[in-house]
Amino acid sequence: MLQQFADRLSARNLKASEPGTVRLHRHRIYIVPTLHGLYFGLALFVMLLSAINYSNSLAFMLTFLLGSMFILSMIKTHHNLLGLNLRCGISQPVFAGQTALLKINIHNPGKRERYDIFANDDTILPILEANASDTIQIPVTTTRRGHLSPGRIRIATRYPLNLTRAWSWWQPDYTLTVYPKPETNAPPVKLRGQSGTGERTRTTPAQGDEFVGLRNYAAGDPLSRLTWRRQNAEGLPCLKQFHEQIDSGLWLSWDSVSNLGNIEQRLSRLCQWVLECDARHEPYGLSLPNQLIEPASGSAHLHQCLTALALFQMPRVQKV
Amino acid sequence: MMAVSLTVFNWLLATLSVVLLPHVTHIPLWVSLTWIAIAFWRYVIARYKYKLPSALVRLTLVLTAIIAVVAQFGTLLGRDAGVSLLIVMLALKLLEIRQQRDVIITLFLAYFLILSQFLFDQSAFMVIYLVLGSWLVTSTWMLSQQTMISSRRALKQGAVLLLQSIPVMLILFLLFPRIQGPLWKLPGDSEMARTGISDSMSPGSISKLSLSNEVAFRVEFEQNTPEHSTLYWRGPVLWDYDGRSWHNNTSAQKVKTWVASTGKPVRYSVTLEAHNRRWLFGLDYVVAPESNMTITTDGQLLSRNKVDERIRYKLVSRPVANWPPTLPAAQRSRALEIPPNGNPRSRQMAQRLSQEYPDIQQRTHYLLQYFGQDPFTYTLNPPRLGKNSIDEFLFTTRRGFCEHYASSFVFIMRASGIPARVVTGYQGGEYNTLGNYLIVRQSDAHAWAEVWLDQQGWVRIDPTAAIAPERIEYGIEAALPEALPVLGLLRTNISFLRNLVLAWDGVNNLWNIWVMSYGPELQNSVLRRLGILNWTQMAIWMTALSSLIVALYLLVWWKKERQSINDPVVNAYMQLCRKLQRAGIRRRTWEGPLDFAQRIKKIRPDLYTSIGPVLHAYQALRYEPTGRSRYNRADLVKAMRRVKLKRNKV
Repeated sequence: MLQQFADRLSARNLKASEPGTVRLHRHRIYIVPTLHGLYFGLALFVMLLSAINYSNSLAFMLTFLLGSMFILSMIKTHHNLLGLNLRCGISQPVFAGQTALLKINIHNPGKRERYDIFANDDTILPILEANASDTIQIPVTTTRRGHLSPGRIRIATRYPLNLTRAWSWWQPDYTLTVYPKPETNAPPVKLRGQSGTGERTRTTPAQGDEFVGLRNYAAGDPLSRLTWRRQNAEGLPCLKQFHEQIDSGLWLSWDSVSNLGNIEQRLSRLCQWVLECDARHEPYGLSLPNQLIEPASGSAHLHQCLTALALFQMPRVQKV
Repeated sequence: MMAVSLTVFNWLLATLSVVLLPHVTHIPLWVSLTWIAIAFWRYVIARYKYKLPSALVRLTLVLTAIIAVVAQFGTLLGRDAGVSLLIVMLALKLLEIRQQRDVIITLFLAYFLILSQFLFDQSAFMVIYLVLGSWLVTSTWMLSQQTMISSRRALKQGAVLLLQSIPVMLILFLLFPRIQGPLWKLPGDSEMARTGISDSMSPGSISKLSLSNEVAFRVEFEQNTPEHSTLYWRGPVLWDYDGRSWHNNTSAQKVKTWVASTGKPVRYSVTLEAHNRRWLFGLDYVVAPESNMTITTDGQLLSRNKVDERIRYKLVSRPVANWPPTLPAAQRSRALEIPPNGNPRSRQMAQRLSQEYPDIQQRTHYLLQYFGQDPFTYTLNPPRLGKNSIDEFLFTTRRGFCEHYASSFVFIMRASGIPARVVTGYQGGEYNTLGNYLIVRQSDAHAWAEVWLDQQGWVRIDPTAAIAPERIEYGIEAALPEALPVLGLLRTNISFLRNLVLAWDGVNNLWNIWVMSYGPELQNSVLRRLGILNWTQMAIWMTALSSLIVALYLLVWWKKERQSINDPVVNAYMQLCRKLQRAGIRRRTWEGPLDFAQRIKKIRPDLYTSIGPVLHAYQALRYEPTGRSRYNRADLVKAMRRVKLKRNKV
């Protein structure tokens, strides 16, 4: 209850999202006793009363010793966060409905080791050596496609005695890309034929894939088609080219899914088709009302297409 | 919630057992055995992952334990029963430890267990127990609260925290405003033996009492405090002598209205500590007692009930009593009675005095002078006296405390035909200027004499004043500076061991004087010497000094943190980068000095002329093989510090 209240209060002057590396300065670290801390305080009070009641010097000593331990442990809690550098790592995009893992890189520039640093209460970094970095992955649930801002993140610690809890809010200027959710029972993408879902500029031979020659490797080409036996003048491997790949490929177009009701359903189906094509190493292009992606294949192309689908008519960043 | 690991559990058992160890001497045997049995049982459960006993079994055990404690002590409250109950409950708590929360509860109880040990023993040795116990409990606490912590690290962190806490602890101990306990009284505690003036007096009884520093009562005067030498706090008046000790065989006659007294009235209130007796103490001679008190014909103030808790009462006294003109016959014969046999030399002396000095004034004067001569000594450690104690004292040992002088004085007076009686009580007290009150301790216990003079009534004569006038003027410490109790335990010839024992006793003695009795009074007097006069100042100093220490820690830690890179060249480079950042040129994390220099050349060509060479030199010095660089480290540091920037443009 106290914690929630303190959280609300401290989150009030939370800054807008901050780009790059953020250093935890002392003026952005909050600290409040935990429930254990409150009980500890109560116990100290009872000890003080009995020390007074029995006029017992050693009891006074014990009470004061524990009291100053409480104070020092509070400083240690604070120091356990102080000066840490936070930065967002690059997180893997996910499909809507999946849990994204937001990577946070924590760097400890100081000489002290840091212990038990929590991110959003459920992810823990048990130890961070002096002058070292480590990464915490915070699970973020996604529901919709688009750019997702992970929202404010609480970096907290209760080290060393769990009597006090120090925390800092941080809203990273980072967006996770959430692809549309692929349609589960989508009809297979038609690899041949003009009608229906896909369009081809040229018919290709059947799956038998006729080898036509070699060309230089370019980023995004599927590794499975590299030939390591032949190398070009720069000593890089060449790419085997098959007949189907030199044709201009399959176009997955917005119009072809116009029979589906709403935008999300259409995107969902296109997404599924993109994945299907990618799984078959089939070059494909994507034509959306506002965007045209030339047919190609490979992971970079896949990401480009899926991102285009993710952001279609969705300019704004959503908050968690 | 997180489950408890076996390591934490083993540590918990070990810690609790260590904390419990000193208690073994004063708890009943069955409590210790219960602890051992249950701890072992719980250990087996944890080790072999058996199931914990059911709630029903636990409840049965708890009820049995409570009944057993009540059967042993007759109560659950008070010190002895409370500690036994705490230990048994701690043992039973072990049987339901499942989560971290349970561990914390147990550790809380362990701190209380340490505290309760001090109710039994407050010797200097217990400091070791305090430190060791809180170290172990705190370390176990850390072990249970941190993930991935090794036992070794927990012990280290615990030790560091403990050591760092000690300075603040000392400040709090010294400056935390103390108030006089007890705040409340627990049943059972009142049965504890109380020290104080008793209803009889024998040689050694008051000197023994004088060794106690305990507070008897405190007095607040409404106006000025009377002179120390007039502060006679009247207690039991003793009439009957049996050859060795003085008592009261017949209870004194109570009167509602006391003989009128005259002189300047003194108004004061007394806060009397519990002493489990009926008498109260007041200055000679009380005029106006409170309604629930009575005064006897010999001037004793009595409470209706035993004083078994601290009470406070207001009195008015006047220095001169208007005694009745004649002494009633019954009282007279009682005040002249001495045992038929014994102490022949004293009787002879009395006979001789009554012939030589027919005037009573002269006779008492002679006797007092006799006491004042050598070789009479005033001492807390008088030799033991045999059957004819008065004779032995007066003619052989001649070393005694106030009861010896009072007793022999009254004996001689009676033997020479003058009615006399012994009055016990307290004399003097320590004035506390800070609180503006007088503290009367057991060590101020005193005995004096009263003789009946016709026309004057009972007149106080204090033989101690003759032998040790400073006792009456200034108090016991002035009269007997060497009065500190010395341990007569070991009379061994091994001088090393003897010295050790004496040294330890010295430590304990200092401990007793300075630490154990560090209460409101001692605190006041100590702090007054330091110029701290009241609670506000105490609080200010306490907060200020504690904060100062904490600030000192912060400073040291911060310094350490700043020194994390020890290379002055690197530090100067970092400083330069910070300076550039303030001027709006921020070095990107991935940029080396050369890339940075290139970028500066592009965005701020005006700065490049001064910064470029420095950055190149830095690069060369840091990354080129040693010996090849043209630059000197010190020069470079200077050059980097010299760089001046204008802030205006970006």
